[in-house]
Amino acid sequence: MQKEFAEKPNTAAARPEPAADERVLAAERLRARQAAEEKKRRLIRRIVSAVLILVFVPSVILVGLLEWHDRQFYIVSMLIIALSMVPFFFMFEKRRPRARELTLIAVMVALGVAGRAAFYMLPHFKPIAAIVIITGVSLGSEAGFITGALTAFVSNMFFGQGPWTPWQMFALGLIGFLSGILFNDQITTKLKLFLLCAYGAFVTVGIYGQIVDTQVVFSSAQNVTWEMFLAVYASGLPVNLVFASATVLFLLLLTKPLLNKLGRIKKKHGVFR
Amino acid sequence: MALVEIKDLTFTYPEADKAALLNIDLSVSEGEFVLIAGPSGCGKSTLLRMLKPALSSFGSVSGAVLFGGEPVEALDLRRQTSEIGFVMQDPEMQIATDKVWHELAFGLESLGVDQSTMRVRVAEMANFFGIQKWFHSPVSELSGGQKQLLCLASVMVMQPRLLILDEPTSQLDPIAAADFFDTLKRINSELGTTVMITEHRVEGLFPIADKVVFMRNGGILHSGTPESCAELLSRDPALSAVLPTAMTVYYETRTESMKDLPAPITVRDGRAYLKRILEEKTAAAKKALPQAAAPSPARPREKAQKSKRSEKPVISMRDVWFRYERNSDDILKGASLEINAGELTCIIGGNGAGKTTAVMTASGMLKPYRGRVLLDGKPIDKYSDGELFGRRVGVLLQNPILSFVHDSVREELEAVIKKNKLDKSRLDEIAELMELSGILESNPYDISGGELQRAAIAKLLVLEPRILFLDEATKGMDAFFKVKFGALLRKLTAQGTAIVLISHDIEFCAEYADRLAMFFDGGIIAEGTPKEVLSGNNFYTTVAARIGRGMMDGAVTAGELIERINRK
Amino acid sequence: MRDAFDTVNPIVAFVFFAFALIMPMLVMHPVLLGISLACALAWLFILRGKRAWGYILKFALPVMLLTAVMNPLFNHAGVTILFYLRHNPITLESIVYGVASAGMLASVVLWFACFNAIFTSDKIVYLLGRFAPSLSLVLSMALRFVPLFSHQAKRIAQAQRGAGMGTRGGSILARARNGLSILSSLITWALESSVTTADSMRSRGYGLHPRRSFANYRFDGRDALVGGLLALGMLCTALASYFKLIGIRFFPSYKANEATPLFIAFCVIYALTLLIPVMMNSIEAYRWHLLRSRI
Repeated sequence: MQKEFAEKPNTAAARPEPAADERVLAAERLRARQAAEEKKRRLIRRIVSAVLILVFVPSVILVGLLEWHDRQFYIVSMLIIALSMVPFFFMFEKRRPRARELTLIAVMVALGVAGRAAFYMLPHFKPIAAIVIITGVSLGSEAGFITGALTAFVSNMFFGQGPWTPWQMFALGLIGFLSGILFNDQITTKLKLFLLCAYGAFVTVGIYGQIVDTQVVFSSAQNVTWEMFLAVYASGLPVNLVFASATVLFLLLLTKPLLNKLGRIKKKHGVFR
Repeated sequence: MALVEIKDLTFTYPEADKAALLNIDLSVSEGEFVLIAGPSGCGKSTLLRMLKPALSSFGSVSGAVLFGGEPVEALDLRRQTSEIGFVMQDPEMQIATDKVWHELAFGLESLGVDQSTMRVRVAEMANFFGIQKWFHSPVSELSGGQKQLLCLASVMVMQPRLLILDEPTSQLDPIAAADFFDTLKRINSELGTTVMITEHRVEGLFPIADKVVFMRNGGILHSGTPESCAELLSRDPALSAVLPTAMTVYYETRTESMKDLPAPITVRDGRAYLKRILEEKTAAAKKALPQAAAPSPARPREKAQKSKRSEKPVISMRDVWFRYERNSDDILKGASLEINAGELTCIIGGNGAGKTTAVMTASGMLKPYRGRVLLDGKPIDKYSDGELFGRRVGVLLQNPILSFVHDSVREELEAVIKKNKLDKSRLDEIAELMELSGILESNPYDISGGELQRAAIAKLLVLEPRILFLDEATKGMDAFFKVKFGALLRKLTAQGTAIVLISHDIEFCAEYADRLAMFFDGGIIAEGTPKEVLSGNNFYTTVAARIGRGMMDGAVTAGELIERINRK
Repeated sequence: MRDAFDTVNPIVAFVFFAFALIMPMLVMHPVLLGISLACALAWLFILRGKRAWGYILKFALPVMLLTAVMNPLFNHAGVTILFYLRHNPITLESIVYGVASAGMLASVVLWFACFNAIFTSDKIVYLLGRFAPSLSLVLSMALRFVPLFSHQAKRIAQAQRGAGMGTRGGSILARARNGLSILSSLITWALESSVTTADSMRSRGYGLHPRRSFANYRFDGRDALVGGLLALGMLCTALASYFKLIGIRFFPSYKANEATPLFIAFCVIYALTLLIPVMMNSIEAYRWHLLRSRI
């Protein structure tokens, strides 16, 4: 379908228009190339961020602990936690995410927060972690981190910020990040779902509970002792177990439908290819 | 030179066998106000989106869309953003940020405008739209009309040359819609912005539009002045439903001598026309017969009841008072309402009059703190939820999409059948009754508004409730679907179902209601047949009644006006 | 009533809070902690009136008690042994330390309570927008969606009930299942309609570079004054710490710096800095009083 204009007021219009099919093909080729590049970039970003989180952050914490041995644990640990999130946010900013990514992340954050409010009658029985995990699984580790950290932050905007904010942000962000690394969105078999639930139980007790309880230990002790850690962890365990069981339950029930829905939206709009 | 020029544009969605747009040719000059009308699914929205590549759908395109002489695809995102503004249908989700000021500034933030310019432009727009008072408000506190106004302002702040609006008032009540149209008119006349708008409510736009484009099946049926378009549409009974009342009356009743007169669009012109035609007819009859005794305006309440009240009402609500919290204001103040089997009862009234609350109370979803609601003579709160909802009473709230929790229409209906242990064949019966066969497997989010409404009502009908409550069911329907919908409601009432419909659409209520209840300030102030209630009102009534006021009292629909004029 | 500090430029306000929050954590000197606590309390009462008691009783006191008790139980450092509890020494130092960290935590909690009252979402979005525009935008969107989703969840529940699919008075399992289907429906709705939001953002040029955040706040003379005073206070603190004016040691034995005139002077400066919001409120109240009495 070659077509011509009656008037050709500028050069862009003056170029002969390629046939429609050809244009579609060219566009598809371009898209394929972009997709490949994007994939490569994503891989690099993933590696960089994995190195950051798995090597850089623990070593900063270690140095901090050794260096400030007899000084103020509390402030130092809090600063470390806050600083360790900066690279993630920085990379997210740097890459200028698209409107649809932003909207999806904002929706997931709001769902997590609204979910926390919706189950107000059951203390600690919240879908937050489950939603963050599913986000990480479906939208990738970076989106998982951002969603987790922002969910904690926004929910504290409604329930009150405190010294616990950076810790919760970091913990939830880490959960979302790891789930993005460990799982892809093909949770098709029962075994995979079981693994995801086991992961959910592990991270809520082992990561979220641990990190948030550590905050409590640091807040009150100058000489941190093992007994103290044990006592705090032990006292926090019931709460963490409730949270973990909620996470497992919500993961069991929500994973499949939510992944389907996210998949539908992703397909519809080619977000997060 | 034309600002927008569309040349032989054909567009097909991927995997579709039919073109969504076919050989479209259209030219719009700078400063024009163009209304694009046509039934749902005729390609209006697709066409508008082609004018803004950032929003165009994927698919195969041929032909050209020129903006200011350049192909629109060649515009970079910056020019596209600042020169072509686009307002969509749903005000709720168009707003991205949490505060009014932030939403207003959004476009300028994207363009990277410097701080002082941003301030000035935002302030200008806030002034122009009268937004200063709620400038710092959270978006969640705004009314629907305010939200849509905000969407418009947040586009206008970039000072576009072309403003495109895709059914912007379909979610608004008539007063908010009228406000919105006024603002559009001001934008067009005071700022000279070119406007292209699709809309179902043409009554308010025909007087403003310079050009009307009527589309059908992906092509342009007609493009020209409102009068010329109306002339054409009036010839086809299938299409004339879209016309403003005054025009309908004109085309159905005009005599040879009036053929050259411009068609009346507004109520004012309609009245002038009516006066002339009556004079002419009277003169022709050579008999100065004064206007026959019209039924005297309704004396509200008393005489309304008697119409065909032989049996007892299904639901009777007596002197009901309701408020949401102990210390809040009363929403219902002694409201009484009776609902009869086999009747369509329409509830009209302004925003905040308590219509929805009344329906929620009458259906047993809310419990009044004074007064009582009887269902078949038994207090409604004596029924358990299981006995009441679904089996006796079905309630459809505004925005039917919210009543879907499953991924397909079939699953949705099956869930109800399964929960109540009904026979599987019920599904086919309902699908047949509501004409759902084509969309049973579809995801509720993939079907059109009209289909969604049908599917949502189907879900309610599975258990054969005796009373249906429909809140704002005609919202967003085009004139053609309204005719179908009215027929559907009649079919249901003929089977003995009582239907209570809340609507802002007085024209629809006048046409189809058996009984009409007008709400104001928490109570019913007038009740009766549409004729009784509406012919007494001067302002809150149908366009037809306003045209006929003083000359043909008692005619409340265009059909009645036409009939009475032609009888003379 | 609008707090006088509420209209201060968010950047200045943020620096103030950072100072007020970090100081108690850095320097656990009983006198300074006492000053910090008192200033935070004074402001909180201006901000919240009687409701301040709620914060104190619900948040500050439990944290204080827990810390004050826990520390001596687990921390056995220190040279002054008071007595033995199940063969574990309880020392004077760890009790003192426990009390000090209780004071520190309490003042952090109370300053955060003030922070939550002053730092509305607008200010956070503004501050973040200067460093991280995308994050700030996500935050603003999430803040819009939270009330919208809550409202929508209620509507979905009503719609379900009206269609006979509600489970009022049903078993816990049925109710849980119903809750879940509402959540699921909400998620679908939210995801599907998010497409419109993204479209509307793109149609208003989201994605263009560079993006500039709209500043709803200005930096005026008063902000300069407050910022200047704040900077002065912080400078004094830095100097005091550099010249070892303030020093404290809890272990092995408790030792604090002497109450020299300079130290007392610093305490006054510290208190005045932390009292900036309270003073602003008083000055404003006094001016209004004058204005009214003149009429």
